[in-house]
Amino acid sequence: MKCDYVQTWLMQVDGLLVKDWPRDMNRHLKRCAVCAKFARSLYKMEVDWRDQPMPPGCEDAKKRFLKTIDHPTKPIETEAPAAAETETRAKPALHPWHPIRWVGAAAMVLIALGALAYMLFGPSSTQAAPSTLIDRLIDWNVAITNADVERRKELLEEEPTLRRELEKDEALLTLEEHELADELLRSGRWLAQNEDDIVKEAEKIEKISNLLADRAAAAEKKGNELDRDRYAHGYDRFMQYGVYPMQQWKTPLFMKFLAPKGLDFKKGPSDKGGFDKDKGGWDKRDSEKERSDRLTAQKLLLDRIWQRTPDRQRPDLHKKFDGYSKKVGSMFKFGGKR
Amino acid sequence: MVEAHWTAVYRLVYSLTGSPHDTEDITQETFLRAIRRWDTFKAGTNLRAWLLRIATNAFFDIKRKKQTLKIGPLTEDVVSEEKSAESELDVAEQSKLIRMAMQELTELTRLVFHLRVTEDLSFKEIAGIAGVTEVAARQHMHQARSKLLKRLGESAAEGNS
Repeated sequence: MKCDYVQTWLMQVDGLLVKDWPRDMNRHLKRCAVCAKFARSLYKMEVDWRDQPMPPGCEDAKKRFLKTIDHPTKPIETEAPAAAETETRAKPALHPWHPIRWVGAAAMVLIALGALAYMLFGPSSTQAAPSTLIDRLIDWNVAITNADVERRKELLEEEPTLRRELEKDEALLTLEEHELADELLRSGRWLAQNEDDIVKEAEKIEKISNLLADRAAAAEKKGNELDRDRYAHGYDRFMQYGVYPMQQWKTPLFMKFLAPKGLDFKKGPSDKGGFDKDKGGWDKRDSEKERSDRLTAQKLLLDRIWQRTPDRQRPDLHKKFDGYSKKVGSMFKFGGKR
Repeated sequence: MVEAHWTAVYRLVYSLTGSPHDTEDITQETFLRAIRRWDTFKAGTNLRAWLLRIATNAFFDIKRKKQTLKIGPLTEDVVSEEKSAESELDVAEQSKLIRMAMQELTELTRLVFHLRVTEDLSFKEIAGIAGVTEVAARQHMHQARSKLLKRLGESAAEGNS
């Protein structure tokens, strides 16, 4: 294989991950130092761009925007109410004080507000309303993983309704879909009832994610794009809302994981041990046992997140975890795994 | 929606405009359009890709309307909001070099490169966002890689001499 060909191929390849490349390409790169260097430069260039720091003002701009939406100076109109208004106009006019007008107007305002609130703050705020029972079950599971203990109890109350719907839809579902729906109902119940063990919970989320990823892959093989996208979307929801928030230390799940270990990220790590300038040095509030428990739990959880993270995201995660380890004075590192 | 995708949209727009002020305006416009057109979003499809397409359209619309929209340069000091304790000089230098090299690409090429590298979207999805064919999107990616590599190689050579 000639170097020119290899380098042109590298310029056009979809992804710069060696494991996805043809064997003869990898063989050439192992032997040819020039092409290997070329491939490394390309990879490094893309990583450098992906790892660019957050642009200035990003978080502040978001806060400002959310504030504007909370208190708009002029109403944000969705297109649906506008269309409804046109339709109303076409009908014979009612008296301005006719009660139906008031009821209709109130209903429209409620629907518009409800739709907006659901879009912005609802449990499935990042997607449109679920179109199938499976989608709803995925949303239900994701909502549970992100809920606190009280909310979990409320969400558990939805289980009988969902189960009844499953029974009603039984004839419409394939055997595979039925199995998946059943598994989602079981996992939702488990997640709602077990809020003490973060590692097991992470395992459960992984199990469902894997199941959805497998289904997406199977649908892809069969050439069923609709199912592939639906399962992949479900997988994405779990990754994004089930596992990923843990990486950012933001979910109630993660707070709950930290709390018994003597760390509360709402207050910041310096409130519980760590280097304290005012006290003139290292403030060790954790006992040795607490510290060791915390490190073990961290390692278990982080390891699992690591395993579930696609290769392309690993450098980011690596950085985050190392930064986190420094922040809390942990010796835990992901060394050698990148 | 805002919480989950704000950063991705902001990053994309910033890579196109290079100005925090314009980036904020266009990002806001993107989410307002998304809220207004929510009924057109197909459940089960990629929400982020949908938002990025709106952002791209908003950028080109605003640019057309307001010819004064300042494009680039992406050279001002980017402040990390999650700065790690050991921000290395070398990393900062690399980061600056690639920002400068990116600025020399056309907006469309920059858009394709950003979407492929940062968002890991397929060329089919990128083509949908950029309003070009899949083949054209691949060509833009090829162009971006070769130009950036060349530019970064030159910068490295200048640095060594």
